[in-house]
Amino acid sequence: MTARGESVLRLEDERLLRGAGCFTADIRLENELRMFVVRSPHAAARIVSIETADAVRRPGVVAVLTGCDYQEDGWGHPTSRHKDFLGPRRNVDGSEFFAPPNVVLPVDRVRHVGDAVAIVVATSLNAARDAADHVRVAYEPLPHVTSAVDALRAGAPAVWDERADNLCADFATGDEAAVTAAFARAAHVVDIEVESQRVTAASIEPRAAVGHCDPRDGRMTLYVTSQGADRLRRVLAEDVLRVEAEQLRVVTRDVGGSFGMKAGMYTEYVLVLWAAKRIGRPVKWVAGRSESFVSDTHGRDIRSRAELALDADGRMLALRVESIANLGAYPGPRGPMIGVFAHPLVMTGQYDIGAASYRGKVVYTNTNSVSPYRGSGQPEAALLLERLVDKAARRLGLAPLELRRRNLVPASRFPYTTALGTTYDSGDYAAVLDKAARLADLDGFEQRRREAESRGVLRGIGIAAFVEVSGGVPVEWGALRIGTDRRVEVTTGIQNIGTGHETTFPQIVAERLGVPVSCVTIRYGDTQFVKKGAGTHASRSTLMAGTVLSRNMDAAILRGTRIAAHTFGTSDEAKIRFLGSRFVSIDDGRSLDLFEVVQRAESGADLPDELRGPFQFENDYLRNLEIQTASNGCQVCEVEIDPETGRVTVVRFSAVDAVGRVINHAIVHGQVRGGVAQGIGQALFERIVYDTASGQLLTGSFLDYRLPRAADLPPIAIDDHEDAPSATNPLGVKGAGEGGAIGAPGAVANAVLDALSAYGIEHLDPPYTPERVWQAMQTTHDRSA
Amino acid sequence: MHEFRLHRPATVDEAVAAHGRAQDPLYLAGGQTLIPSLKLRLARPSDVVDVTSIAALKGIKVQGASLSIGALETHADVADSALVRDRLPALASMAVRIGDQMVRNRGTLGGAIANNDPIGDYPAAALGLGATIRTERRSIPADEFFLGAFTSALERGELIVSVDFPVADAAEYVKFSQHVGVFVARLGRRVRVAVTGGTPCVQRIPALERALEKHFDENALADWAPAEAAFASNLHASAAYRAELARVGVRRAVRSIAASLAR
Repeated sequence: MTARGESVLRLEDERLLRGAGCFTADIRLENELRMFVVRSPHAAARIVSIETADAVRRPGVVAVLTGCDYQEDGWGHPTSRHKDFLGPRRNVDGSEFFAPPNVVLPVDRVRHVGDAVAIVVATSLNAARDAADHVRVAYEPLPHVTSAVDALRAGAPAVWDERADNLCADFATGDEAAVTAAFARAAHVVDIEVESQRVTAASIEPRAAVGHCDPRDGRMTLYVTSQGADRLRRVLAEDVLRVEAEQLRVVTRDVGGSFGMKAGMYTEYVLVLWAAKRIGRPVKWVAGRSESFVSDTHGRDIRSRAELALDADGRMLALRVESIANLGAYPGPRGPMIGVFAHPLVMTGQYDIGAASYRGKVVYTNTNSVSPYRGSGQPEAALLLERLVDKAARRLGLAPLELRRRNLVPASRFPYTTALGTTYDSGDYAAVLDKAARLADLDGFEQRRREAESRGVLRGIGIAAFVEVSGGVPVEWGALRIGTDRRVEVTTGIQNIGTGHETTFPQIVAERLGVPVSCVTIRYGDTQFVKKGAGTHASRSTLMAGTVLSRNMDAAILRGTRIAAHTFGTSDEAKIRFLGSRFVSIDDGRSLDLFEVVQRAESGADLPDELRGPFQFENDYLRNLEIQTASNGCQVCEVEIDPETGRVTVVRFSAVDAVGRVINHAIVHGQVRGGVAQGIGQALFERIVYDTASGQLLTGSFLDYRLPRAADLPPIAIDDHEDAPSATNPLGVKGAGEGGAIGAPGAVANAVLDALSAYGIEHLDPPYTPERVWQAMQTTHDRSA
Repeated sequence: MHEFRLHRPATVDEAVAAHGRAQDPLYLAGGQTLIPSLKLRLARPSDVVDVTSIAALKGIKVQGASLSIGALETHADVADSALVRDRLPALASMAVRIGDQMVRNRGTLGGAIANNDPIGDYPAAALGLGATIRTERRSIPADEFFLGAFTSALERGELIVSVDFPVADAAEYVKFSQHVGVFVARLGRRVRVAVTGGTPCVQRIPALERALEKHFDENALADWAPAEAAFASNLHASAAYRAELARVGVRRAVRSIAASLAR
């Protein structure tokens, strides 16, 4: 038996650590073929011709297929599905966002390096790759543009002929008139421009898919690594095949890292299914790491300018933000969702700012698509705002902690609606800030700084406070079955992506139904029994699927109560209590075990019809769209900088997260730790770079794309703050999957800039590579000289 | 990878013979460069001659005033060798900083020297100590061995058997990962300085060596500014930054050696 909050070891870990997991590449179907994708070496080019005759004759080759074949077969193209998130939002001029389909195999034109142009299907991967060298594609290079800022300039090459200005979206929200008025009466105005550079998810498990078409009945199955099988099934059914979803089966087994990158539909998944149907044999594709770099959707790539108006006392009056988001060549699985919705969602952070306005341009360029990556727009917002707040504190001569404290939304104001219209459910930001300051030993910093100085090293400290809105797609489905075999089976539409669901959900059941965790099985990832589900994203799993499960357990207990009442011969259900795992009569203490009740229901023993039958429950849940489940946190980072080389070392890191009620502390802390590691990686090392002149991806391997290593990370002190359970859901939980990654870039950035303040450097964009820091120190040194 | 014929000779002679018979052969030792190149289909050898079963390429021993290290000794072997740690601690400390543990368990001395990666650590150590590279047919001084990026004095089919590293009075390797490595050694009155991360490959800095031979302290660096043109400029670092790192690296190495000699 275990209670909520206990750090039960993850039940799935033994399977995964022993190598008994089943990832998509592990799935082997009889007679399966391997697919290799021929990709564009050009950032932009017209496809003059594709010559496949030589390749088809190579040993082992079964088929070489192009976009023309795809067109002939009449299959459709996945769309960006952004309306699921954006509803009726429009461009400032009232027009619709421009989001053409994600072309599966273009026939006329390639739009980024890595764009798929043909596939080779062969009996082995080697045979397919060998033959791919013989597919001759004649290209006529076209002008290209890789940066969003450049793409907005007059005369820039158009990625899509239909949209000469390269705009996918030009969106505005907030009250610009109120902002202008507030700026007019401000005592201080501070501005900043910050870029959250492009990064990649770098999941350990590469993307992979196997397509299967049953020759007997033509039924198609896609095995794929994803964040939710049904989500992909619906894209296939609605956009690609135009059939009922029930005619398709999508299966996702174990997933080795995804971070949002695996949430959407990809060209290769459609291609394995199409090739399998066309050829009549299963077709498998597993990305090589080089392919991952060019074709896994990237993250971030937003440049924002923000202005903050403050009164003489340092109270924040207004915030104005203008952002330019690079979307890549295709709208990808979410279109302009980040730049239009996710980025402004928490733009005012933890602060009570009277007025705010946001204008976001989402721009096409000749680069790989950008889609949500851990935090999705929120880390970019937190980096921008927290850098701005630190800059303001310095200008006003206030301690960064003090300026924050003066402006936090007070605990008494919840639910609190921000000036950009997001309603946060609950929080006690001041308590979290204080807890983080204590955990980080803020008071001892000056001594640590002096000690570093005596070693000739610069030391800086940075704070980042943030809000993490969770939930994503507002609907979820789930089922519960309690068997006479004393098993409880939970079926859910979310996906375990290394997030501990096989432990958390049994704990939720154990707490409520009083059964051992070992009695509970969780089923997910196969549309054969997962009727529908939006999958795992936006830190929604426990919030959304946990609520569905709670409701199903409510229904089970209600029915059990009625059965017990009937058994004990009372008509008053209020006389029956569900205590532990037993239905107890408060009149005479007689009781029935949960599984005895289930036995009675199934055997039908003199029960009325409505109480008879299997103990199965399911429900659809639509969360309240008016109020957001908003976690919050505060992180404190300390860095040391070698002034001779510019090398930054993170030496201390503290994180306090308030994520509502905690089901399993170890899992929540693991999420925070992993998120912080990714955030430190983004702040110090990681960047996807396209060469402006050639449009080539320069960071196409781990040699050139630097991930954080264990030795780069300090011990991370983690604490959580459980005082503010959410009222939005019966479990009182909030999202916990992204906070680490939302806060860390800002905390590291502020620490670096604090260390560099002696050099008069007010801002520097991440990543803080040694050379970037060193160059900044040289420049300011020269200026002062 | 493309298909190739694999040979697994047991002796140096067999290896050289197998190499000589093939049309477009490559030797395979630890494979830390070759295997990824094969997998990325950048290398297309007709034959791969795997030398890892040749016992004569193993062993670490004292030979006169040098340490003789077999070409097949892995970076982990060298880092852990009591002999190396005792006689040439700077070499062990260089080896333990190559790549990660998996790379060190596989990568070999001979492979690293033969590959002559412009940012390689071993070329800096070999040139900095004035090592002698012994092949099955001759001995090549390090000063004549490293010719250019991924290019060495090795002739077709020539196989490194061992490398003799003179035991220095004191030496130090300062490494700025992916950017620059600086190896400084004092051998009697002579001082050698080798810098990796430059163009086209590892290089000595004779003017600095002479200055340090006169006065072995960091003041000797005062008049020396590395030429930017001598350094590579790429995604990871500009030539100007690398030049500065070379200066910092030499200074730190000299300071450390001076301190160790003073003890």
